[in-house]
Amino acid sequence: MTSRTTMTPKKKISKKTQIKKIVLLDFLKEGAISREQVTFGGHIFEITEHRIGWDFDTAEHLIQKYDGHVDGIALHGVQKKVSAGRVVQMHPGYRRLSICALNTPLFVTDGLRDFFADWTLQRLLKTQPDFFKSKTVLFHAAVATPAIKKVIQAQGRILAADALLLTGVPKLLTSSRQLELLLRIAQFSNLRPKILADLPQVQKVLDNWHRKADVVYTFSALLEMMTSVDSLRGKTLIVDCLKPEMAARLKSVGVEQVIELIPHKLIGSEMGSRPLVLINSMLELNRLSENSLQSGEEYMIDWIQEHQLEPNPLSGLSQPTRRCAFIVHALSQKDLWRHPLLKTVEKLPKRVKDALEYAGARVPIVYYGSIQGIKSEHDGQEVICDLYGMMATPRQLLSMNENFVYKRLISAAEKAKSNGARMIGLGAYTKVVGDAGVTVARGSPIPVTTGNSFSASTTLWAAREMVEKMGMISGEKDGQRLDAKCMIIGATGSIGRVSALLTALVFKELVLVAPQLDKLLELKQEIESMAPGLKIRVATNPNLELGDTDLVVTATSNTDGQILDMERVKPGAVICDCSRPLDIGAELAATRPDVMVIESGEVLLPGNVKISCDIGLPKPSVYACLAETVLLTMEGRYENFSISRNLSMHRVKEIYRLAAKHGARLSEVRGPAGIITAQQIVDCRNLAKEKLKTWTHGRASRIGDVAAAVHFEKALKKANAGSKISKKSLKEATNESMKTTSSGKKASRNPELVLPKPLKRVLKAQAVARKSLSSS
Amino acid sequence: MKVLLTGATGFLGKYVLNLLLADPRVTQVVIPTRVRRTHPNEKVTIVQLDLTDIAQVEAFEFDGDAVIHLAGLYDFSRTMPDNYSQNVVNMLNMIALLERLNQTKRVPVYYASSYSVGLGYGKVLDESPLERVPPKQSQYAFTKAIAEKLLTDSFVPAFVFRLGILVGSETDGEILKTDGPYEFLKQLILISKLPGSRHLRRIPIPSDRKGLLPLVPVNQAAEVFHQALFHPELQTEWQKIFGVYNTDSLGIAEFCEIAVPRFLKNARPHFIEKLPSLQIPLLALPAVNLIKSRLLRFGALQRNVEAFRFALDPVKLSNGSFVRYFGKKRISNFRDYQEVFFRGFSDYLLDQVDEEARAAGKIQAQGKRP
Repeated sequence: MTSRTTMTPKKKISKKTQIKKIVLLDFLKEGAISREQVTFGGHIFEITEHRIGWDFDTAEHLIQKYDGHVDGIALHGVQKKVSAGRVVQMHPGYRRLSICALNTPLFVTDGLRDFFADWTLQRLLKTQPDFFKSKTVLFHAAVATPAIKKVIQAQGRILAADALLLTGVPKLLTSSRQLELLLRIAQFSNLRPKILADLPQVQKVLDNWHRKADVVYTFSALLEMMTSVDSLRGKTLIVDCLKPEMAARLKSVGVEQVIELIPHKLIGSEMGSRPLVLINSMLELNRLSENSLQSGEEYMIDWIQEHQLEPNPLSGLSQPTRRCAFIVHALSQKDLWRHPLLKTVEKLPKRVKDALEYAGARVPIVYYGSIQGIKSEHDGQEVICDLYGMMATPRQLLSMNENFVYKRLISAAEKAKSNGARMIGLGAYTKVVGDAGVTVARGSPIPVTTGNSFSASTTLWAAREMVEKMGMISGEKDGQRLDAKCMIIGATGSIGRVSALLTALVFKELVLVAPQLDKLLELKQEIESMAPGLKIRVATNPNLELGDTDLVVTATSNTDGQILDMERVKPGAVICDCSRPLDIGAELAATRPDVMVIESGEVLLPGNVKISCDIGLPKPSVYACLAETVLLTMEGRYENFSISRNLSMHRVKEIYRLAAKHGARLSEVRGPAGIITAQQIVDCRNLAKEKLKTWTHGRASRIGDVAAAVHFEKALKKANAGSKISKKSLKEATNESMKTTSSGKKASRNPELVLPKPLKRVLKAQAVARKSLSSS
Repeated sequence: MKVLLTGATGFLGKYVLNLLLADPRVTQVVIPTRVRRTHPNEKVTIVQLDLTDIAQVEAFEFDGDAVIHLAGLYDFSRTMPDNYSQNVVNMLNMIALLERLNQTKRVPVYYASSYSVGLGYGKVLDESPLERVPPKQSQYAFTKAIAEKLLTDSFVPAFVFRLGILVGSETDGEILKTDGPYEFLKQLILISKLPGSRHLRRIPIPSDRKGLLPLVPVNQAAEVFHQALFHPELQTEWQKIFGVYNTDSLGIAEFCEIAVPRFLKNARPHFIEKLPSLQIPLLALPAVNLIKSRLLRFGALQRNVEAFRFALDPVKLSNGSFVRYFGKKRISNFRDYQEVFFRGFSDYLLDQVDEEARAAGKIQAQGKRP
């Protein structure tokens, strides 16, 4: 209320209107009293706010004065309970005041604020379960924050500034036990929060601690006390609510994200500028005056629902530029010699080149280049992606000791972090080695992602686009599914598995192909449970089913040999090659101009993108895994998003949603020979239609391996009938077919690689065997 | 006119009461007191009322024409709860009463505020409405400012008088309490008792040397309230703020130049306008804060000389009417008055201290008086 020297007298207040009186004692501010009338829930309240600061003597005195003369006394800045670990006790200040009020109820903020805090964090963890994982969370007042338990459960690393802010002792607490000890010691004090403005030393210590944390959990009142918020740059802030001025201040210093626990709808309402304890007290007084049979909690929940209050979404305070990093490496020896300094090496003898390849793989990861100009179409957030290059080919990576590779990747992450990167992505074989990023994520100072979620997403994105453009599937949709057949080669790998799960929802028939039958069967069972009407088969040999397959998705880690027989592919089919290096090279693709072979995973990032180096793609396209790293940074989602070989459907959908939100899109679809033009699609379609007129679904040419193939056939028959099959019998079947074949050669036993050629011949014979079996 | 006079038993209140009783226009003076009292004058009605008690004030009925509100706590040794209760809660209840009274007719209040409400942000001796309040460390100023702001933020007709430091009456020099500059004099005595104090050359004064001691003799301040009650200009105004002090007041520098040598023969005042900020260890802070609060009690007054705004009839000072401590010097202006007054008061204090020492038998009187 403003003072004035001349004013008109106020209107008389009708005595008939029952006005409830509330005295609000503000322990966090010192200053003039304010008086006002508000209407809440149909009742009128007269509120007198005494800003007495942390003065329990005066508070006690006032409570004694007002006890019995007002309807409620609200305490702002003091809570009922403080807790640490298993220790829960009454706030000593509250204890002292509670015995002063004999007739008038005392109200505190606890209930409503803690409810909103829990709800918001619950919602956040539902959408981002790994939000706190491996993150350091600094609590300004951990003993006054019950939500700390949720953060601990979500595997956040806890730091607490309570000792500093309550006692002035500059000791950073790092465990619940230390907090418990503090609480036991401090119970004799009144737990006064130090006024930071009066204590510059406290501010300095707090600034140092902020720099150690990824997330800072505080209260708006404490935030207002800080003389400087610069140390919060780049952090995520969790706070009860923010005034617009403070929000602007945080944005200007570059705070990354803010999570406001009190719903915006409440803050934006006419009650928003008032302390939450006031709402708490008015709710309770209304409940009492209405003689409601509901408990306080029930009444509060009704009120929340009536006003449609909901947790706030995560809001990013966009700063000028965010930074991420991505590790690339040479996909073949040839890629190494593309470097300007190494061009002459290409002419050297093979032995020398192999030696250089070996040595290059052991060289530390270096800064390679950057991608700039990336800008979100949603909120204008800019991102720079630093590229770090590893001079190791896939062959070298797979042959090196895993721990050595992990160390290299972790040191790259450390380097990236020191350059300002908030997260790092693992490209190509760096995510295939070992446990697909799990160990690296554990040791990395910044979150890690393999990018596989978006790779899987763009796979199907590209495949769908091409299938539509080819227009070869003429069948009607049977309910939700296309009347067509899809095959996933490498179905048990991370990308293949998710591709299988997603295509199961689209196609009527699905074939899963992978070398390990046991994993295939597991996957088959999983898909059957989520897509009951789907016709699903498993195979270790893709060729048997190629003849009538409309879409083939390959996602293998094959480095040697051919994974399928191109001659057996159905004319007009689309083969989506997700593997790197490619499963189907240009030469092989050229043998079937009536089959559309595409590569997937290339993405166009939003903005005027400039790539300063060669990443093996035409500029400005980038790999999907790189795009995932960028999109997560753009969104401010600094978490280990795609880690391990198990991709999550939820994540695949989530990253697709982020891509759509920020404006990332598929680049022109590429084939092994370059960008696929519209004319090429037309030509392919015409050729396919012509060939289909005489198409016989392919036949097996070698009969000599029929006997060995019978073993496999039996196993396959059982598998496709859905019955369980023991690992032992599978192994026996494998061994039988691995025996010397008619060609006299032994097959390789490496289960990670695609079936060796001799075995392939054997399996070709299966087709003949099956035919003979079926006819018999 | 029927007047409600609070704080009538206090230093200023006594003088105001006498003026009201001597004025035939005032028909009745209602005096609320906490304890039972009597007064011989039939115009006086004493009611038992604790202004800090909400229930009592709610039950109080008054059908008068004006309120002179002088009640409050002016004692720096008292705690914050006491200050808050007697200055702030008191005012809250008074406002509730005034709002009730003003529902039926206009009942203005004449409130004794303090110059100190502008402390801490350069608004001492200012006459504009308060936008903020002094720091809480100055308990008196903090609570008085809150009380004044409550009044000016309310919707009752109110006239606020920001009184300077009340000094002894011009007629007899009587002082009821020794605060403000008198407190400073007492501090000087304490310093003079320290071993080796005669060797002191400088006494630090945390103040702007150009500042003014806004003094007003208590009888002049009382006259202000008396005249305001019937002043024609104020009958149609709704709210206004006045500074009440004498522009002939001694400057801080002049006062200190007089006072310091009285007690510390070889010392002179050394003015420190701004205390340096020190990096003090956290654990030492309570002790430092205590020392700081004692040093700053004297306050930092801004130079803001204005003409005395409230026109009074000139008060003639009679010669030889002071009590013995003030000698028989002819006083022709307020400046002379102050010099004599403070010199005399210093002597008075020294005598008091010597008497206490003699009574305790601990020390002998030190030094000779100039």
